[in-house]
Amino acid sequence: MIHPKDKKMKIVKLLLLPLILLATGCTKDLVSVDYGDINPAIFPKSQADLEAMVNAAYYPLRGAYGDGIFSTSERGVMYLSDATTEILRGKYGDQQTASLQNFRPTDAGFTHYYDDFYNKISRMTTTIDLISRSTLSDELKTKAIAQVRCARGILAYTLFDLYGPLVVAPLEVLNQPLVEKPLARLSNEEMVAYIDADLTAAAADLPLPQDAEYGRFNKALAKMVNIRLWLHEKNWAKVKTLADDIIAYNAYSLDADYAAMWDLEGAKASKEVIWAIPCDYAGTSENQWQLMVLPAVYAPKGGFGTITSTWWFYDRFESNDKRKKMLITEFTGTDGITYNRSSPGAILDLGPLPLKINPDADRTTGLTTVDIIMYRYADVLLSKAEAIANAGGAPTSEAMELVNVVRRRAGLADKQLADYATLTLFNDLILLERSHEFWCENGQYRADLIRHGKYITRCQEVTGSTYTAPHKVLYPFSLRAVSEGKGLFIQNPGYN
Amino acid sequence: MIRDTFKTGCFLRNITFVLKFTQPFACKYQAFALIYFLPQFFGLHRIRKNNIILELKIATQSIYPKLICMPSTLIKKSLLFFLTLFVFQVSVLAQRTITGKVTDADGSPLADVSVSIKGTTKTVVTNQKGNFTIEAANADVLVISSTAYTTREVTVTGNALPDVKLQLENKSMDEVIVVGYGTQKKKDLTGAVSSVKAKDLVISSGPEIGGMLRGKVAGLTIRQNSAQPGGGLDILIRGAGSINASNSPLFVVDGFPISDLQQPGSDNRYNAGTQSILNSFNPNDIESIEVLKDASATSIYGSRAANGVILITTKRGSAGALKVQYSNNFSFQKYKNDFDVLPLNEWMQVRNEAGQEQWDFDNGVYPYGTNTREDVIQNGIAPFKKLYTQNAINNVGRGTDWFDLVTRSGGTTQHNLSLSGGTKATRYLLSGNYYDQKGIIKKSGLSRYSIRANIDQEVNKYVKAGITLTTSRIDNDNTQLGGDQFENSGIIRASIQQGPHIQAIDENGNYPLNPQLVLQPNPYSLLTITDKSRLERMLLNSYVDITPIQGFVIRLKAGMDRTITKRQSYLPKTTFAGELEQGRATISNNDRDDYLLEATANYTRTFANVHKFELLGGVSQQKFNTSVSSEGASGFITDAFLWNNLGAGAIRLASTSYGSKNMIASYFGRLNYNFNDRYLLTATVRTDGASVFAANNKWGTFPSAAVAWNISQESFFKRYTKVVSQLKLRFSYGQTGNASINSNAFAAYGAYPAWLSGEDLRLIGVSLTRLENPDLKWETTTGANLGLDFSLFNGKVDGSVELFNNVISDLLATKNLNSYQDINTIIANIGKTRSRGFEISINTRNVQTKDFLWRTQFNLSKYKDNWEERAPDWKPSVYESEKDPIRARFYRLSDGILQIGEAAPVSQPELKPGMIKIKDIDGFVRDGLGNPTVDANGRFLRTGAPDGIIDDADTKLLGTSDPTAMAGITNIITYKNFSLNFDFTALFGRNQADPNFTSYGISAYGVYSNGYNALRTVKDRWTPTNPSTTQPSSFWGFSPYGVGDFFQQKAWFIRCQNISLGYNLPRKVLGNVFSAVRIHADAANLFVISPYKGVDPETDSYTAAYPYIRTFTFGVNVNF
Repeated sequence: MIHPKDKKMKIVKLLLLPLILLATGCTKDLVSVDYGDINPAIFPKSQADLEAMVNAAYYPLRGAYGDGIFSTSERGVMYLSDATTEILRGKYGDQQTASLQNFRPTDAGFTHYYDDFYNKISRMTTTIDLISRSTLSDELKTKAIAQVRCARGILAYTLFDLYGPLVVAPLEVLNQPLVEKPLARLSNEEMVAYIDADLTAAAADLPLPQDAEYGRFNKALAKMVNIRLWLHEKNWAKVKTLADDIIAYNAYSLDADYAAMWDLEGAKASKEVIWAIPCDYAGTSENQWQLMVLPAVYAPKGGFGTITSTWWFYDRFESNDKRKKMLITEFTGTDGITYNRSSPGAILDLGPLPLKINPDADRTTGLTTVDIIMYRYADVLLSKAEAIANAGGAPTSEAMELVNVVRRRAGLADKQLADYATLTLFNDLILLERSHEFWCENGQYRADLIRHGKYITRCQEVTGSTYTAPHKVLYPFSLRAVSEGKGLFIQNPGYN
Repeated sequence: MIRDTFKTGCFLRNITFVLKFTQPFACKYQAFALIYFLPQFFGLHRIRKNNIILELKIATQSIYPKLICMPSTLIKKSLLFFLTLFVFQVSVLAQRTITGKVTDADGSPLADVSVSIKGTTKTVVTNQKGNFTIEAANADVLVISSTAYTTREVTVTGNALPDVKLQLENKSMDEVIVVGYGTQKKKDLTGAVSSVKAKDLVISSGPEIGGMLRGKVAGLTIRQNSAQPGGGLDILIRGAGSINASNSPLFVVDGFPISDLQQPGSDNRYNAGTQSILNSFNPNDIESIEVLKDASATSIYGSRAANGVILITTKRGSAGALKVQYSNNFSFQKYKNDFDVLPLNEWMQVRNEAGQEQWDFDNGVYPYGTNTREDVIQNGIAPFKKLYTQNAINNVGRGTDWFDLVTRSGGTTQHNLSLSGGTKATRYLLSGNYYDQKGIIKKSGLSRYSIRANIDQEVNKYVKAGITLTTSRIDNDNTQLGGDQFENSGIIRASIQQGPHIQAIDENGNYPLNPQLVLQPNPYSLLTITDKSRLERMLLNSYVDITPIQGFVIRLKAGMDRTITKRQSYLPKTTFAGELEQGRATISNNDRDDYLLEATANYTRTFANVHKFELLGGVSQQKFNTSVSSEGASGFITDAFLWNNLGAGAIRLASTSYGSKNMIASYFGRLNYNFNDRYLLTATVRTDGASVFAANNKWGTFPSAAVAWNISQESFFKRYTKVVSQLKLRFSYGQTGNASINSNAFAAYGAYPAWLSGEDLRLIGVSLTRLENPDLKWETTTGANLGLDFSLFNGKVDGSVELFNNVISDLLATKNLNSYQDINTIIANIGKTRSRGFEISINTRNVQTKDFLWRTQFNLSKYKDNWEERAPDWKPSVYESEKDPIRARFYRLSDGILQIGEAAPVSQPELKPGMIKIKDIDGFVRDGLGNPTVDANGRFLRTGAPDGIIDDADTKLLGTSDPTAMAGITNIITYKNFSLNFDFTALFGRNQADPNFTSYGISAYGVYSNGYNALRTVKDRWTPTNPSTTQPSSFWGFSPYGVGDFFQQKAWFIRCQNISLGYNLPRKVLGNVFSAVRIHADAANLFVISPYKGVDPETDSYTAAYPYIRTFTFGVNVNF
């Protein structure tokens, strides 16, 4: 028989056992598992990992309201840049601020491109480093790095065009994210060299246009963006060489039907499109242009009607220009009212509807499946024309022929060199053609106006704005960017 | 054994049996049976020692008259036979008639005092002289109770009891309250703990208990963030000092720390509002709520206790006969439309006028510019043509009343049944609750089914075990709520903004849209959306208590909180959004399993009668597993499938899923030392390890200590005890933690759709999404609390005063890294904040007589939350300072409305008449180029003088959005069988703009340009002919200088939250079936006293919020 006291002790011991088990068990598996994450220790290991990292480099270059720089909303480069020119005009909001060139450092609508996207240059820098340090084959690495460098070149050029030189963090700084280090902006020279290096390297290793997948980067695109860079810097020789390179790929030609490029599958079918951003209804990449430009009463499907073109712009098209047909000057709304220039209501009073895209009546959300065309072969031709004329100090028949090629497709008669004998006259013609050819595509017409010294005067002429001033050729940086620089970061001039 | 003596009265009308027993009654049980059953047959019985005297009274109208015809001997014999059968086995029975008298402390007799035998349902009441008579056996315990008096128990010895004196109830200091991992007497407490008994709350109309705590606890801020059925609460204990980490307290239900349960997102563009964390718990099941406020009380909960702990203790069964309680109530909510929108005729008038104003404004016509209308027209601009003729306006009527279409009278229905009882060894409680609420917005509703069961079982002298199971199912019917606007406007917002000129539904069954706003939904069509969610919770707690030796208890505990939430919604083609996609069905599922495993050991011992020690040690481990998923489809040929046939949708929407696992492991201990009830000491420590933190700081230790001095126990204080019966000074100091970062501290790459292929296939991208912070650790709150508990005038007034100071250091915050980094934020421990404040709670017994008791509970509290220290590389806006309030209100200063003829201020050249002027008070320090400059820390500087520019330098700190003080007062009055409970809550020192007014009440811009409707106040807007000084023009929003503090208004309020009137039916009318019946009528949210002009100062946190509704409830509670 067990003594009651022994029994008690036995119970105590029995009880202590689970206590001890629990106590020792606790400390071991204190591991957090988040099934949504990829552990850095196992990444990147495979070709698929590499491709995923490359895809991530494309990510900021999408159209997306929240975080895609080529959004077709007021949060994207094209919408806002074209709104600072005669192509678009807004009555309120950021678009109005743009039209009046009234942007200030406190306008997030103008400072956010830098604040939201310039760190993606850093993502690409670290991505390139990760790829080059991975154990995969050199062939795969070269292919991958070429795409990432192209993405970095495009992004850096786009921001440089809007703001001037940027802060570009070197890899050593990026590898120590927890150490605070204010950086100054690059000099103009350094910035240009940086972008050129990327685009040149990318062009070397990217596939030929004929071999590249639709929607992905190729040699011609890298060179086309580089053309934009050297146009910006007015380095005509480089522009011409790059243009000739692209022409020599023999991959592109002008499409006979201008408007068809913006059909539902137009960009994909086109021989002229160098790069377009694929979009669909579900919106990994978004094109919401109809939503932005169509008024609510537009049939069969309306939109927010946030912006229109200007009658000033419309009036400068020649009457038989096919390219202005996508500027809607009259329509009958779902309210039964016919809106046109003489009876514009509050819709067409400033200008026609710039619907340079298939209306896509089937769209089920605010998004369309029409892809965003970014660069076309016509740009190569007009850039070459400008380079030839400016390099030589006077237009040539070769240059004029390049302009006329583009004009013929628009159904227009040739211009005669004799009528545009001076460089100024020829440059004015080029500028006009560029606006008529590239309106509402990539927003580069702003840079064209600036390059030709007409950005400010055009704004004054079209909108009568009293806010514009010579310093408005660059957007301001936010106060946050300034304070983060601790005195090293210098705001663009004039923004006080 | 039984000898009978028959005395017959006048011929068989009265027969008396006297049962004589040879032995005294001893077996209570059988005596009880006898007492219970015999009266069923006999009119009256008396029990004396060894005798039962039964009198059979036969009334002529009863069935017994037949007996009259029978020979008396036959009757006698049959009755005797029956009786013999009945008491056949009675060998030892002794039941006696006990008489007694109940008086108050002064010896005055007390009537209607309930006297019952413990463990039975036998109850009698005292008469006007305080006398009672009850049949009881020796050693029976009589329970003598009356409202307002302390219940007494008296053991039966002899036939006549000495007079029982009842003391007026004053048990607050002897009250036992629940603390972390145990209970304590209130007088032994060293920490700051507030306790609320559910019986003092009016719990009839709401689905959960959180909202009912409003104004009941000093230092507890409860704000309903949505007044929808079951809507969510923001609950704060002593302010909110955390910046990024959560500020909500830890909720512990019967020892299980529970997690919040919300409806999943639906991916259908509409927001279902919020849910209270306590919706799963039937308020009728709750016994008490304890709010642990200072470090001494909370640090036993360690890393999750920084924001205080709310302990919810549910009812358990007690030994005794089965008790059945049933309650049922109905409430009624009448919707009163506070959104006073324009009817069609007035809207047309406003639209005409606004159109001309717009034309003038756009064309720079005086006073907006220098033109005249004639100039403008001459320049080729078409003149403004009125949209409607006066004749049309006069004859058009009031148009569509959208509110009328989407609202209804709401109400609740509730049934609650509980059964409890048991023996000394086994005790149980079972309860079931059905709660149904229909919201005042059509299709908004909530129903809950909940079942609770608990059993406590003593296995033997050493082992006790128990289990508690709570299961609940909540079915939500969602209306489209939330603060979204434009195409995502919810039903209330859509009803405000939709013009009265639009038809609700046309003859073809279509829902017309405003042609100028075709992307905005027809509010009436939103009622065709089906959006349901189901929240299921099963909380299972089990324990085994082992008491190997006296005073030593080991408790092993295992529990599980299993929650499944599901939301299913369908946007039909009748809605604009649904039509676009040809119907959209979505299903989301969230699944969560929390497991708790715990072991504690508690040892209590008293040495030398004065040194009382209580030692607690424990280990605990809680695991959290979550998984979520969603799927959907669109493009349906019919709306009939709802979400039940995703396969029939032409387009499959992207499906998503996610899962995570986390864990907290803990060791904790507590020592309570009590010297002679005079000096008290509590020391606690808890060490927590959390998996979310990275390698270097997984573990954190949170100690606390508290001392208390029971001054009233000191001998020198004895002479004051007539006035001050209790006086205790407390001080505590300690630390608690906060680990709620909703993430973890590890680096991670994330995968997401990054690009599309030419065939529109999603290509997945991977990039860094989180940086590792190897040093990340708990946010630590170091709190000091000074408290004073007192009880005056023999308990007529008691209460406590608390002063606290909490410093929250190592704040878990998202720190900005250099913005050029790909991932340019990181969760880090940076900066310090401080919460300071005081709390006063006072309970009084204003009047206390034998029939009447009036108690008042009052509390007042105040806190102030400030920054103490910022991150070293903090780069503030120019108007921010180091030690600003945490929820600072920064505004520019408005300076009235610019009137016609008045020159625009130099700093505001673009200001037009009717816009709001801003004061130029300061300017940036600028460099030679005029650019604002920064100091070496990257901070902008101000000159201190106006600079002719309105910018951030003119923005000023105008205090905090926290209330300056909070108060609550509850009155509980009982008079005989009546009871009245009413309470008020108040928040003082608040300012806010009325979001409905600023969105829809000022500008008529949208009325003209888009056909929006507006609140009637737009008629008072500034116009050239109505130069208002209080309301700006339609174009106020076009001022580039902002509006400053112009629309801010005082928003303090005092709300009459509840009034409840109850009546206990007198025992006389209850008969034998019921032991108590109470009927009650309640009103909730009866009125608000506030200078605020909007719909409600509490719910108006965004435009078109679901408003508070007055609720009337009627109910009955029945005890069997």
